[in-house]
Amino acid sequence: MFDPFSDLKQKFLFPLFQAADIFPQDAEILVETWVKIILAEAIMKAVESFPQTEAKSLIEKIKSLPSQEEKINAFNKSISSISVAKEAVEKYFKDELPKTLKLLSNCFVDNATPEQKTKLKELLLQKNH
Amino acid sequence: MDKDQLEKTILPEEERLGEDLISPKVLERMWKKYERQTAAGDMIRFTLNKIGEAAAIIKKTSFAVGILGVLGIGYCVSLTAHFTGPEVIHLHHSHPITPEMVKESMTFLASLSRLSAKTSFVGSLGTATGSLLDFASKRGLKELEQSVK
Repeated sequence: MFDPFSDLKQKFLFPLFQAADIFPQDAEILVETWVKIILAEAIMKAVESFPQTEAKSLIEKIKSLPSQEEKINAFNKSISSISVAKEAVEKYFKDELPKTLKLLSNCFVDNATPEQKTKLKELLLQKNH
Repeated sequence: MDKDQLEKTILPEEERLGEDLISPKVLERMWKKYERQTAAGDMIRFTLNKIGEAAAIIKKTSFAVGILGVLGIGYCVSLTAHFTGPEVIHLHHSHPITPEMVKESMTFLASLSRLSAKTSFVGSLGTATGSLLDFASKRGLKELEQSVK
């Protein structure tokens, strides 16, 4: 199954954690945590942007649906059909996420030893070229 | 939706600590393991702060809480209350993060993950959003490459 987070994980997050001498198993946990953080932020941006009338009708619709899967589908569908919600998610990915990634990489850049920086350069070269 | 109804949507402990939850104990252990290693420790600290922030971003609008409530994510209500106290300031000012805060935030994130599988949420928004995720990744990478040159 296609994973939209694949590039972010393989080309950015894993090399960063690996270069900081974080064990692979721990790096795996951190990477999955980051996917959860990004999803949570994107979902919350969408939910917060919902206009009151749409929110009310969505709540009623979700209440009436019998299964969790149908509820989730209705939720996802509403995000893609309500333009402000879609725009809020797009804005998050376009403007806020790059800033967050920059802050994370600054944690590395500001503290890493010269050896760790060399290791990162090598890993980035391997993964991205 | 009133307070009582919302509280009923709070999932029982066993369910909240489901299979997709990365155990807070694991993160706590990881933090202790790496805190003295500056690059790793700082990135883990930033990650923990982001977990707290992600949980704290919910505003107290009745519709946001209501939508999540009917989806079975009522837990955010107690989190909202929790993070509107001095804990928010603690998180934002990088004061010590308590294991309890990490646990609550991780539970919240796990609930949101259950709400939408990775691909269906991003996928349902269309290719533009997928491209934007790719864009964010590439931009982050470019800046990182420049920083370590």
